[in-house]
Amino acid sequence: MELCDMPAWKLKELIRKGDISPEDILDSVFERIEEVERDLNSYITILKEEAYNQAKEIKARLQKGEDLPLGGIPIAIKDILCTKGIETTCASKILKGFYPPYDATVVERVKRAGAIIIGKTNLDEFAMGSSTENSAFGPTRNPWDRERVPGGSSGGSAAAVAAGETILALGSDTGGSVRQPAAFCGIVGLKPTYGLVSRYGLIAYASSLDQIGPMTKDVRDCALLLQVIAGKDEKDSTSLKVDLPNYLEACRHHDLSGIKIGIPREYISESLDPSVAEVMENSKRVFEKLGATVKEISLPHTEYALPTYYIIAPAEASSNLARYDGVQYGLRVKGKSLRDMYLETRTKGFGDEVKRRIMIGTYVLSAGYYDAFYLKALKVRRLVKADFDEAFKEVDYILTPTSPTPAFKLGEKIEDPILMYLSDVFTVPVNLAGICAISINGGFSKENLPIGIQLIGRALDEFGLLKIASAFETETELQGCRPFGR
Amino acid sequence: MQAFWEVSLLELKPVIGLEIHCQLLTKTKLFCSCPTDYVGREPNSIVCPVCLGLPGSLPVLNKEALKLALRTALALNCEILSKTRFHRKNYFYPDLPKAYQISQYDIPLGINGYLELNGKRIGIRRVHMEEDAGKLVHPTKTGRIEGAEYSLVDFNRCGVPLIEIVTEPDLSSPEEAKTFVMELRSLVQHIGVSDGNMEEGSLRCDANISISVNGKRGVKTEIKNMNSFRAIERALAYEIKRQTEIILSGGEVVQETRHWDDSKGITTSLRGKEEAHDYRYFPEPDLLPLIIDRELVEEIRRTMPELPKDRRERWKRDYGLGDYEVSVLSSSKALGDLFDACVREIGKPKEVSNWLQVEFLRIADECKLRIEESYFVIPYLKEVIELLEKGVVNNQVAKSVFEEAVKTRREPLDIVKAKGLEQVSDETAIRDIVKSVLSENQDAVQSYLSGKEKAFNFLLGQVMRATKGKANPSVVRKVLEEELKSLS
Amino acid sequence: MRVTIKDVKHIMKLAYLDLKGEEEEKMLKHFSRILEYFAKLQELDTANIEPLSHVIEESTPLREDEVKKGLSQRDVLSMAPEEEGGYVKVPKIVE
Repeated sequence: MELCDMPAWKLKELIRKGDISPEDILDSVFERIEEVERDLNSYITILKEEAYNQAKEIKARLQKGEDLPLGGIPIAIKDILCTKGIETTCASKILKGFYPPYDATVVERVKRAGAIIIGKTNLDEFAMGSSTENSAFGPTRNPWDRERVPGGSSGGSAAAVAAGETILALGSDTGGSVRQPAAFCGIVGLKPTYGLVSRYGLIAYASSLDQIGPMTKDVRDCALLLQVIAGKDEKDSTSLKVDLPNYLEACRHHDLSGIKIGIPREYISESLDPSVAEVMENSKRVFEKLGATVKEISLPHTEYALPTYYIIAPAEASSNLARYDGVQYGLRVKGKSLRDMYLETRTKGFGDEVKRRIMIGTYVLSAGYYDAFYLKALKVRRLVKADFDEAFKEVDYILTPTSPTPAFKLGEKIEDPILMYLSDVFTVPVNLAGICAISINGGFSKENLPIGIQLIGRALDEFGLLKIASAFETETELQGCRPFGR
Repeated sequence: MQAFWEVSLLELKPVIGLEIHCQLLTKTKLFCSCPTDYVGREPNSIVCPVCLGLPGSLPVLNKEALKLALRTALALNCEILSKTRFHRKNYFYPDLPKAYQISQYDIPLGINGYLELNGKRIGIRRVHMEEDAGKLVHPTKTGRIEGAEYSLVDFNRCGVPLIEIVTEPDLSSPEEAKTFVMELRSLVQHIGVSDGNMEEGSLRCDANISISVNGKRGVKTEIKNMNSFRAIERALAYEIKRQTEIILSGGEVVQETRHWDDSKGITTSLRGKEEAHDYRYFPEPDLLPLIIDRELVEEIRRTMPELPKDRRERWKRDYGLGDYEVSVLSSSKALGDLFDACVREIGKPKEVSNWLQVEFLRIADECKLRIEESYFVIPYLKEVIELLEKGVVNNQVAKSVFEEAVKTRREPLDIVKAKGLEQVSDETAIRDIVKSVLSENQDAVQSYLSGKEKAFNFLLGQVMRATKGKANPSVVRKVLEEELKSLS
Repeated sequence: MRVTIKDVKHIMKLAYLDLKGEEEEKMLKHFSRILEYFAKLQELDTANIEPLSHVIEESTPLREDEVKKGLSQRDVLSMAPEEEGGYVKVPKIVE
């Protein structure tokens, strides 16, 4: 197996033993990028020269005996996270030429941990989308099948991790944007509890739902990266003060006896793709084999979660994206007057889906519609959250498919927004409730497309999620499956 | 005298409510750690990702701003709500970098308060916190936006903490509105939450005004851009006249926002009800709700500085000062502070009050002295009052010595000694001078003796002049009376 | 609830977007479809439900009032599309 297809924890060991150097990993990763990036388009910005400079620095720090949890490990950053002095576009024309004067807290943390930033990955513009087709820099393609989408919005990060174009990646998840692409690309993606990871420097889509999450080749890497990025940040008022457990510990215990897992009946409808239904059946058996009890539960407001999400998220987005007006940074389309400049800049700068969501969000907050839409959605949000509270009285974890289908074809859903939105139907409720969930590979379809399963946990029970995910992964040995290099 | 709008068969009454914004005296901005002292700074030099609203930045609430806001709400007798929250107020303008202002909406910090104005309670509907916007510069001759080919943005003021104070429509005349704002300014200055400087914009006032006809509420207009106390009074008087004329001519007042043009002395329509902003308020997701710590509220209540009304009462009660004196001394917090400091040092509140109001204010005005920087006068004043009491100098000399002391920063006693200004009370010496004055002014003497009392004062003045003002006036008076008597 | 082209125009004005012709038509079509989808929520009786705007039930953290170094004027101006004399320049505001 080539270095670029190995998980970080293994590479760390090889570096520690002196078998390889950080540069060797970079060589392998950039060789792969050279090979596949033209087809995949995972990256918006590649930082090859900077990466090798960083590698030198990290080597020196390692030699001094510094304990660097991610020392020398390449990481790709979704281009929605601010990186000081490095163009940060959100895959939007409107941020073309925006070089943030500061680093996002998570970027600071991975740098401090010794990770090497090798590039900024593609996404749906401002994270609005489920296929990475809505990018001003062209779509990213799925490394398992280039006719298909990698999922979205963190499709660039997912494709890069799966294809060996990076070792680790960071994504952001507002309604499934880490988990769904992880599922489509056969990797691990975690949506942490709202408040566990600082949002400072994450360019906001929907502030009450956004969370940054690790996207990795296996569960152990996920634990490793979460350990680095989690924890209170004074710069984020919504960041929680928590005593962090040692997440790597979670990957050592694989006995699940006594653990109760629920499968919500609302998630297993006839509309589920047969290959997904089959993976769910198999997964259930695996968990039972591992000692867990699996039972059917109910989350009665499931069908209301998606419309609720598509009111709340655009509402917040319409406000969050109002600042892109051509005044201070990024794109300015000149106009005769201020009003013209605003209109021209925003109309030319934003893509279709972003405009659609800004319009919807503006509408649901506007005079006369606030109560009927926005306020109603906030109330239903409480019902959705209450469903989970109830369920967690009965079971410890909830098992669902990550998405109703495996990766779909490019262009398949782009013309019908609702069809596209349905791709997030199983991931969105977790964001509304502010709890945590992980997507891991549960198997493959007949077309050899990975199919993700989602495990949902109580707020701040990332440790437990990692534990059962790790047990599943060890049992099934599915995470080793890579589109290339096997 | 009745104002013109009161002369009518219809009973027309102005109904005025005010919205006042005060900048809070914190070191840093409301949601970030940038300094707040933007006056005189280079443009765009005290900013950070948060107050610039850069993508990805997030707000964190300033504890001191909360304390000052709570102090204001408590001083205005407001009920403090146990849980409040912030909202986003969405609108586009180049001085608003996030395109929304973080403000408070449905649950403000304080509600249902009041401020007493000459015994009348003016209701305070709400007190809330919000962030300020930046400043625009228009490169035209007048500095006004009309006719500007382009504009320039300075973000330094973005995020400076403000409190907004909204009154009930309890004010009934322009003068009362002005007095209210002055009283409120005095209050915020006294409790140390704002410097209340209208010229620099750290206190801003908008008004809602309507005319009620026979007790029926009229349509209101909102008046903006009143940048001085005088502007408040003039703008409201103008608007009352305008609305009254519309009503009396059978027309209808239009609900709208109007702009006060101070140079032309008129209000003009800024935008109508139709164009009213739809601010699309919604709860700020980047801040959690704010649960008000009861202990903090009690601590702020316990440590509340003396309020202007309490101070005025104290001066009347403990010092026996009259209404007029008190009103002069409380015209600014700085003067009141200086007065209190003088009394602490010197005692004799009545004399001190008199000296400050008459002599000190005149000299300070003449020499452009800032009251806050005038504490050096205290020992001078103390000495002058002592010299006067001991009879070393007379009243006139004391005043000129005080003035010279303040201007030259010399000890009053030094001045007296150097210039030989000690009062002459020796009767024999004075009698000699009186005699010579009388012999030199025979006309005046004759006129006095023929019954013209006024001539006495003339002669008195001549004697004082002859002594270069140093003579003890009561001794002069006595001797002069005796000498004139002997002539009759 | 039916949306009309008039609604779309009104919302475009609020949001400072300017779609014309076909694009405007397409927006109306998608807008209608999405709003129909939202109608599902009206099935639920939420009269006695408290709206949930924040999932974290704590008080917002407070920061000490201490000055920290921010950005320089140069940082601000280097991001700005147009500048003049230390200010960020914008086109004329009053048309």
